[in-house]
Amino acid sequence: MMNIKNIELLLNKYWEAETSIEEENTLSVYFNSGNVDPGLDYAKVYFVIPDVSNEAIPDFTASIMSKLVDKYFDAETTIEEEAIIQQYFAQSTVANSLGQYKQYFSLLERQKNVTFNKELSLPSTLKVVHKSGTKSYNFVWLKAVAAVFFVAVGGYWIMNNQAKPIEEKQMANANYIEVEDPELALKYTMEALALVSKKYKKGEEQLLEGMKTMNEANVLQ
Amino acid sequence: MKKIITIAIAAIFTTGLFSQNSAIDKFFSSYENSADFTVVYVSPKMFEMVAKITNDSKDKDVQNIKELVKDIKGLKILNTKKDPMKYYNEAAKKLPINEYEVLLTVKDKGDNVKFLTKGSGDIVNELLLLVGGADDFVLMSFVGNLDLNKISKLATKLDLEGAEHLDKLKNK
Repeated sequence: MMNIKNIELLLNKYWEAETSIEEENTLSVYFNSGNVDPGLDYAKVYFVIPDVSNEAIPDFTASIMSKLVDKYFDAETTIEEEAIIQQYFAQSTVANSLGQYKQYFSLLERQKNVTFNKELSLPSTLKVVHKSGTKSYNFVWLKAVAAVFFVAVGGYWIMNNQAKPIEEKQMANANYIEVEDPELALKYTMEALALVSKKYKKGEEQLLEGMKTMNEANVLQ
Repeated sequence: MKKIITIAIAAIFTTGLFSQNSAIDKFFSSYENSADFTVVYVSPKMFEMVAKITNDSKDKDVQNIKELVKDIKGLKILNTKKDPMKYYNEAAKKLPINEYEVLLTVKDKGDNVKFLTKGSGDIVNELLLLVGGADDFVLMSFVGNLDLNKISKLATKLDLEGAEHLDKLKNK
């Protein structure tokens, strides 16, 4: 057991930076021994190297990623930032706090790679010759032609009949009279002709009057 | 297959012909929906039947117009009491007046009257009567093979009794 006095002397030397490596080792052994005089406890921190092996190192990546993810869901990330997020979640393990997002981002990544692998083909000919030698029409083509035909005809028909609804409205308008009774038709025709005759007569009268005035004017001259 | 396509194309183009409207028809149909207007339409089919009636009728007035009615193939009347001058001016603007010949222009007690015809010589295909005054706007369209001489004669034959009938029509 080392004398406390000796240790105090060595410490003073140590503060003066005059100790040799051996003396420092002695100090180190003493303070690490676990049996340190309470009066010298203050110097312990200088010689005892803390054991950090069990302490958790704060996960800086996780906190950065968490901020980026928040930004991502606010739709404020740049393309570069999104690439970083993608890269991070592509790892097999992510921080627990971010575990909930892993599924989402890995799904996105998977969807990116989805391709349609099935082979599509339209039969290239209208007529099909079977192996047995019989011929038949290719119904895929017939259907396609029929579909185009009906769409074309239908479209044209609709375009030409857009006035139809208006005609139906006319029926609703009590003032639209399509005469269906010959007697009534005759009546309307006569009335119409009466107006024609009345106005025509007036026109002729005015014409005659005009000519008369002109004649009088000529006479005066 | 080719035949079917040919027929289909032919059908498509012929339907186009039916949808053709003359400017007059368009003008009429643009007012047909308005509650302010009275529109009367007598079809060619109806005039065939009217011609039959006129042949059998002993009424003096009917006898007078018999010859004329025979030649009419269609009649349309458009009438309103609301803003007559406005519609008169609108009609004068919208109707293809330059396609017609002005037969007569009359000013009758504040009424502006225009007779317009389409066709050549004394036989016209269409006679338009346009009346616009303080109280009434009337547009009449007679189509057929109308003899202007007959109309001129009619003017002297028909008395004004008929015009009163027209007033009743307007009051409906």
